[in-house]
This record gives sequence, C-alpha cells and structure tokens, in this order.
Amino acid sequence: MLTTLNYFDLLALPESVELERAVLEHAYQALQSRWHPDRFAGLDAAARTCAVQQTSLLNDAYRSLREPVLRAAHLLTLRGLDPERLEQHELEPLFLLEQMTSRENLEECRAGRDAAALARLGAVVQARFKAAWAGFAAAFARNALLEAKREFHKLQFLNKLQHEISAAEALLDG
Amino acid sequence: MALFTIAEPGQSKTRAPARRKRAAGIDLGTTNSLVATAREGKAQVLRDAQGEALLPSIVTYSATQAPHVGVPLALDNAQASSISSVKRLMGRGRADIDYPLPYLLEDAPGGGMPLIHTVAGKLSPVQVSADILRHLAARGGAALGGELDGVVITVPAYFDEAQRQATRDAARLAGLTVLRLLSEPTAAAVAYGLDQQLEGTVIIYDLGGGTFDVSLMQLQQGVFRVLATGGDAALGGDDFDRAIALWLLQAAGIAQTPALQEWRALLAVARTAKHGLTTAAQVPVAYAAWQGVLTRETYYSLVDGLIDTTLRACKRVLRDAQVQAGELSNVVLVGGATRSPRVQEKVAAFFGRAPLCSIDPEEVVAIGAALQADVLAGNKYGAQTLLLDVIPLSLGIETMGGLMEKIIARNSAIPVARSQEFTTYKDGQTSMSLHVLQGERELVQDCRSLARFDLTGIPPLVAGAARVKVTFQVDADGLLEVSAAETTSGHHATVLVKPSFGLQENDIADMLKNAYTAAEADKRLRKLREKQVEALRHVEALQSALAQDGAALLSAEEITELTQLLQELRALAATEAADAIESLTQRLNEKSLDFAARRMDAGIHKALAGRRLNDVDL
Repeated sequence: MLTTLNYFDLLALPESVELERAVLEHAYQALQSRWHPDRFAGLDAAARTCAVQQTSLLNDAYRSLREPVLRAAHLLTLRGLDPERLEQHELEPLFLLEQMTSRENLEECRAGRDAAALARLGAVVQARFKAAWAGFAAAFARNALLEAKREFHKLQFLNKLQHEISAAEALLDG
Repeated sequence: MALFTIAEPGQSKTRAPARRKRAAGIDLGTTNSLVATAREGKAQVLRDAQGEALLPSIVTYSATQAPHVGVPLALDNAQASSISSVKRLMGRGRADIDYPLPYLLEDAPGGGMPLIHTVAGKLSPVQVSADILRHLAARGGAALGGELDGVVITVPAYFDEAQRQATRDAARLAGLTVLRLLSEPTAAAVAYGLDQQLEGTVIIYDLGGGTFDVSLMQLQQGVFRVLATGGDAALGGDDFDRAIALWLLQAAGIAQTPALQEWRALLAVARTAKHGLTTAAQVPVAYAAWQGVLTRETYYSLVDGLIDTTLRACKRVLRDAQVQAGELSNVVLVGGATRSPRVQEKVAAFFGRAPLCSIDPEEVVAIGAALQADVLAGNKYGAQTLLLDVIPLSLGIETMGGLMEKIIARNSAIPVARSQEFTTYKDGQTSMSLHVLQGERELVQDCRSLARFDLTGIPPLVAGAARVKVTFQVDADGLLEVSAAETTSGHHATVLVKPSFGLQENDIADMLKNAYTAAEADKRLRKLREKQVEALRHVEALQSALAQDGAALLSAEEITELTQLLQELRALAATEAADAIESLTQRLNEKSLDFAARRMDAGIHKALAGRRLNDVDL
C-alpha cells in the first residue's frame, strides 16, 4: 500500500481535529518563506525546480488542513480509511431525508429569489454542520473510526450544500 | 518534517560576489506606461527630460524614421500611423475585436493575434508593445548606468494565460529578461507594504482606464500573500467618459453615432466636465449647437451602476476568501480612475472605512514592480520580502461531451501541482487528445482554449482499463506546464502550454459573471451530456461484444432485437432528450444482461478448457 504523506508532519503541527487558523497560517508562511522558489532567485534550474516541488506540496498541505472537511478526510486517510469510498449503509435514511428537504428548500429560495429564506436555510445548515463536526471530533477522539467516517460523510454532504447556498446568494447579489 | 530536511537547494553553491544587478519595474498600461527602479528598498519613478513620469502608450510609425514612443508626432496620416491602446489586442484574435479602432487590422497568417496596418508595414501587437518596452527599458538603463539585467512587468490580475504569454513575447522581442510578470494590484500592495509598512488583511481596488482588478491580500512581516483576486477585464474609467458622452449626445438631440474624430472631441468634453465636477456641484457643458449643465446628481446616475459592478466583484472576492469586510485592516486605491471622488465615496461606504491613497495611484504599480524586481534580481536588500500569488482563473481539461473538468481551481496558491486520472473511452484506444482550457464555465465552448496535445502509445486495452494521469503544474512565474502519462505503461507526453487565442475582450469577466448566472443552464446541459456519453459508451460496448460473440451466443432474433435497440439509442443520443436517453440506456442494459451472463460463462469455459482446475487462476 502506498503510504500517505502526513500533512501535519510536513507543517510541523500536532495531528489534531481542531486547528486554529492563526497557528496554521504561521507554520505555512514560515515554511513558504524558507522554500519559495523566489528565495533561490539567481540559482540554477535544479535548485529552483526542487523549490517549486516543495512549495507545491506545501500549498497542497495548507489547503488540505485549512478546510475542515479536507482536514477530516486527511485524518481518516492517515488512520488507513478511504474517505472517498461511501458505503450505502453509512448514511442514515433520516439524514438523507433531511438533505432532500433542504435541497427542495434551496430550490424554492432560488426560484422565489428569496434572500431572507436563503439566509435562514444557511443558518440551519451551518448549525447542522457544527453538530456533525462535533460528532466527528468526539468519535475520532475515541478512535471510533467507523463512526467518525459516518459523521465525515455527513460533513461532506453539508459542505456541498453550503457551497450551493453561497453560490445561490452570489446569484441573488447579481 | 522529513521532506524538509533534504539538502537545501543551492546550499552547496557559493554565491559569487556579483555586481549589483540592474533591475527595473515596468507598468505597461493601456493608456500610459511607467518605469521605476529601486535601491535599498526605496523606489523611484523615472521621468523624461521634461519631468514627465507617464509615457503615453502610443507608438508612431513612419516610413523613414525609427518608431517614436509617447505623445504622437505632428505628422499627417499619409506619413505616419499612431498606434494606441495596443494592450487591448494582446493575446486576442481578430474575431475578438468588435469595437472600432483608429487603425486597420487583418488576420495573421496561421491565426493568432491580428496584424496592424501602419505606413511602416504590418505589425503585430506584440511588436508594438515591444517598442514601448524598449523605450522604457532605455530610460531605466540610462538611470542605472548600463543595460538592464532584468525587469518585472505588471499585468492586470485578470489577464489570462494567452495575454500573459503575449506580454512575455513582447519583452523577449525587446531583448529584456523578464524576472516576473506581476499582477498590478499585487505590485501596489508591495509598494504599500515596503514603503509604508502596511500590515494586515488589505483589499486593493484597482480601477484603471480600461480594466478593473481587485485583490485581497495578507501583508505580514514582509510576506505578501494574495488570498483571492477578481475583476472585470473590460470596465474602467474610460467607461465613465463614455457614459457622459452618450448623455451629451442625447441632451443635444443627436440621434446618429458620430464619426471617430467627432467622438474623440465628444469624449474630451466629457472628461473636462467630469474633472470639473470634482470641485463644483455642477458644470456648464456645450456640444455642437447645444449648451447646458451637468449636475453631480446626473453624473452620479450615469456612473453609479458602473461603480456598483466593481463593488460586486469586491464582494465576490471577499466571499471566495471567506473574509468579512469588517476583518479588513485597509482598503487601498490604485489606478487613475480612483481619483474620482464618487468612486472614493462609494468604496468608503461599501467597506465602512476611508480608503488609503497616500501613494500616487498612477505611480504605485510601477513602484511595487521596481521593489519586486530588485528582490528577484538577487540583490541583497529586501531578502526578507516574499510574494505568494494565486492563479486568477481555473485551469482544466476537456472531457467527453465537451465538458470542462477543472483541475486547478481559481485562486489556488502558486506554485501548484495537481493531477487527475482519466480513462480510455473505446476498446483498443491507443491515443488520447488533450485539450487544455481556462475559465469558470462548464462547457468547453465557453472557456478559453490554451493548448491541445496528444498522448500516444497507450497500450490497447478494453475501454476504461487504461488510465491516463494528467498533471497540471503552475510555477511561481505563473507558467503552466501540462503533462500526461499512461500509468500502467508509464508512457509520457508533456507540453509547455503556449496559449492560442480565441476569446473576446470581455470574455474573462463574462466567463466569471456568466458562470454564476448560467450555472443552472450549464447544469442541465451537463446532465444531458453525461447521459449522452453514458448511452454511447453502452452502444460501443455492446457493439464490440456483438461483433465478437454475438453469432456464437445469440439467436438471430436476439441479435436483431439488440441491434435495433442499439441503433435507436445511438440516434436518440444525438438529441437533447435527456430523460428518454436515460430510460432507453436502462432498457438496453436490461436487454443485454442475459447476453453478458452468457459471455461470462463462455469466458470461464474457454479458460478452463484443456486445463486442470488448479492451473487456473480466476
């Protein structure tokens, strides 16, 4: 099996579910300052190519740790799970039903150009995301990985919905 | 940390105690250009003998003399051609230019940018830009006492790969070494950061004559990081003048569009009135036989819509970076058009704070470029400053059905490398055409085509078995390199993207704008395309299965039935009836299930024939 690169190690950060933005930014900028290709301006092509590869990797790591859902996926991968794979039984029917209702709701907001209702829906989804996040964090802390993975898939769904809500908001703004 | 303890690049090399490098920053503008140089972290805009910093971006060609750059010479049209606003033609095709120009264009042989007719012959926009760059570089060289070692040239943040490439080509033609193409708002941020020690999260609002750019940046201890960028490639201060001019025409009761010369005079009246309103509540205006008054209220009603468009772009950038307006520590104004009090007022109201414009908004970009040039040339001062940029528009590849698959999303930090795997579509397919695209829309026809290349030598396997890994890499210079490899055989094909041209002037802005409004239509079309592709894949698979084993495993009636369904589906897949395509695909699937089962049985029998069971590896 291919070993996964540990992004926490790469950024010299402790492996954790919660990660303060400021701490991440600080680690990222410090490493960028050291490894950015511009630091090797005037040196040979090989040195610059090496720097380009290092910083590309660093940019990937930063992005994966900054977004909570990507960070959760990375943590699961590090524990040997495949977050890309969603098994049928991993989603509760109730959750799916809730998702369908939210989506219908979103359609109605879009069709009716109702910004206030859209904001309310956004708040509801935000609250659900928070709850699922807490569920993920708790399960992961207990090393209940399968449960953590179930919560992770909820986060994925909710995150996608959040993106669609914000796209709809952008559309209403013109 | 393992990855970062490998020997530091260049560590073993000793740096030669070289002479100080001569580097300059060039702001190559649509209407005016500037050049600046930096020393010990202090930049200086270079002026001509008359003390002018701004060089009009106009080149006058004559049959007998060398090109003249700047305010046009007083020669008549038969002897000379003055070429202005050439920046608008950079990286554009003939078909993209649908606005009047005071000079003639013709298609270039072999496509690409159009050629401009001048008395000195037909010239490409790249050549004209090169003449401007040469002039500015000479000014820089004279100030630094020798030929320049390198330059940083600024471009709108919203320039796509083709426009950037054209700018690079112009520099190469002028014999210049480009240290970096730098986004104009980023350059402005560097100037404020180094010159005025500005720190925190800052938004740069850059309204020039012809373009609008907005960049959200984080400035911290010498690190300048672009968080997100956006804009409108076809909105600028010139549009304010145009709005007033159109109002003047209407007020004067003139119905037909004036000729080019007349239009210029009208724009001049509009500009004077606009400037007058900076201090007065209303100004007298006269055009042709008509005389009247332009009030501030009328003026506001003409331009507020344009300013609101720029503010919407600001909002989108904040949203992209997930930053609230309240978290900003400063709003910086850049570009000549931000001298307008109305722009300042509306920007202040939108962000809830007074904007900063302590460095001359027309000089700030060149100053930042000069400071960055000094760093990139390897001069010691400013070794602590670092610039982290993003790509302005998403990059991707064409997939089946004319869809754009994004591989690197807009506003991704560079350098960046990202891969995606694709599979073959037909049985025995040995080559794959790759079409590299830039833009935000879902359909290929709405995105900019950057390059096409072929990966050949794929081992012939059944459809879907061969895997092609496509890797996009953008380096710190923003240069894109695309490579593809078949992963089972390791066969490589690489291309360094050399963009082609095919988009219209406002397409960049439109691409983004429309990505929102058209998201719904795109989604429907996307669904249809997916159904079509899916249907054709089944048709292909069944057809090849029928050809192979049909006669052996099926009765004549069965073959006829399947063939008929197959033809029906092929015809239907060419229509737009997504649901019908889906249900017929489903039916074909069901009808061919039995055939598939028989093939599998036959396959097992074949594998077992003449062998002992424990020889067989199933």
